[in-house]
Amino acid sequence: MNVGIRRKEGVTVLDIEGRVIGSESFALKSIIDDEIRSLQDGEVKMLLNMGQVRAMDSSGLGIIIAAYTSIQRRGGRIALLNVSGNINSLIVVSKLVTIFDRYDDEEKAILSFHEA
Amino acid sequence: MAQTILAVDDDLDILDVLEMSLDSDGFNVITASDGLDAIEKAKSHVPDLILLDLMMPKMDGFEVIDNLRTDSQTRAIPVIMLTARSQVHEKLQGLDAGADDYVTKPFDLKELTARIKAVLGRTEPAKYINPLIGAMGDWFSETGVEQLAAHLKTAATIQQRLLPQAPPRLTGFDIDGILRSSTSVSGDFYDFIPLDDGSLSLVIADVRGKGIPAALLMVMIRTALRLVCRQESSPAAVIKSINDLLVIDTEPDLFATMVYGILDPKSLTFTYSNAGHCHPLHLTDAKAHKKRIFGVRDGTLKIHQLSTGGMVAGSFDFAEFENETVQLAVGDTILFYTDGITEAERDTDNAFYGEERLQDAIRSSRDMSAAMICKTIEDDLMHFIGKKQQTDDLTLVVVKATTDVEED
Repeated sequence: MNVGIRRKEGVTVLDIEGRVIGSESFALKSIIDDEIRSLQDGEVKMLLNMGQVRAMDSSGLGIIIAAYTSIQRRGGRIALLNVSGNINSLIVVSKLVTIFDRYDDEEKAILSFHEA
Repeated sequence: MAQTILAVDDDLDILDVLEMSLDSDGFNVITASDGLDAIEKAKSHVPDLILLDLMMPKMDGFEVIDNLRTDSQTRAIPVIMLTARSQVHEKLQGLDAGADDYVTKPFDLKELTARIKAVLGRTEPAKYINPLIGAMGDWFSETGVEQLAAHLKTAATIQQRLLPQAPPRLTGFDIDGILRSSTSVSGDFYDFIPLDDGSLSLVIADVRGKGIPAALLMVMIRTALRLVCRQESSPAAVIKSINDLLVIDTEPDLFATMVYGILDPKSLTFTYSNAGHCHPLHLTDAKAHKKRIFGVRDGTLKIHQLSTGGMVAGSFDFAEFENETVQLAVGDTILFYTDGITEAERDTDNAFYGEERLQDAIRSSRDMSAAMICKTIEDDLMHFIGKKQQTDDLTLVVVKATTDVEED
């Protein structure tokens, strides 16, 4: 797994690539935690770009859930970009579709953070 | 997955050469041009190995090693030092500081690759043992590991006993299940609990993660379920209780997916709630069904997915769950499974076993006994993954409605 970090109009975009599976996914957790810690309360706007994620398991899902909870607690927001195939099924089956906004267009996703 | 190497040198030309050469050898390469950058990248990427130049401005290689060794996350990352030929005392100092090997500049790229592979081969097991050592603290020792192995064995035995030892007996049904754990202890489980009114409650669950943490949570959920299922009659209420309990006791990233349901032999129904778990497959022979009810002979085999319920259990206090009641007919089969089945990967091309293959497998084996269906699907799956090592726990539970309901 590889994670690239970009900032775009006040939104932290994480480009995640590869397999978010088991212990391989721990690095993602520490990156997300560091980002949350480095930003002020209420300013955490995070977009996870999952377009290049090949596989994700329950550990990976746990990391995204934990991110949601801790960002929510700080009054921030997290959304998902380019979720497809297996990853989408995982999010649909686990019924997390109800809490995660998903976008297929980066511009629209970024815009959504400023509308809220 | 390709292994990642962090190359650290203040000479950008050397970094370029390293990056190109290692990249063509199939490694992922990250680079850093000073000590501080190196530490930051080691912590954020946790590479499999670090190539470290000793002589750098700002912070030298020794300080970098010292720093990495104090952080539990980077402590075990193997380090190969890059040194100038003459500095013998530095080599010794570096090895003392905890470097795993050294290569002198100017280096031969083939030799460097060979050294990298040798060090990775040697340190691979440590990568897996290290998180355990971290959890065990500094009293870690050889005796400690032996004790741990013995404890794990005991834990696995305890957990095995928590699984159904024999298929449940329920009039009009043929039921069986299997669990194949990928490690000594498992995060999957299934359970059958006979209820006082003659019905049978059934659960299949997959706790996030694997190994000891997952196993602990599994034991907790199983115990809670056995108590709660006697207090609440609605499956959704049972799952909500488990959810609320886990929300209080664990972090949000510890959760379980599960299906809890009640098989009623009198009404031949299955009432369930699904908390973010892979949808069980309900196979109905529409022909038989219609013939029995309407006297019609046409129709085909239908698969209905049992998806009603709510989110994964244990992460959110606001999670709500719903029930669905499914009318069963004689000849119907319900297959419950965990994602270890559908996400098992083939050795040759990493293709997933997937739901379609599973549907085909259950279609073609549906006339067999519940035990044989489990065995047939398991065999098909093992054949599919080939030489690949099983990476997740696999669980299957099969329920078949076998004879007509007795009228009373």
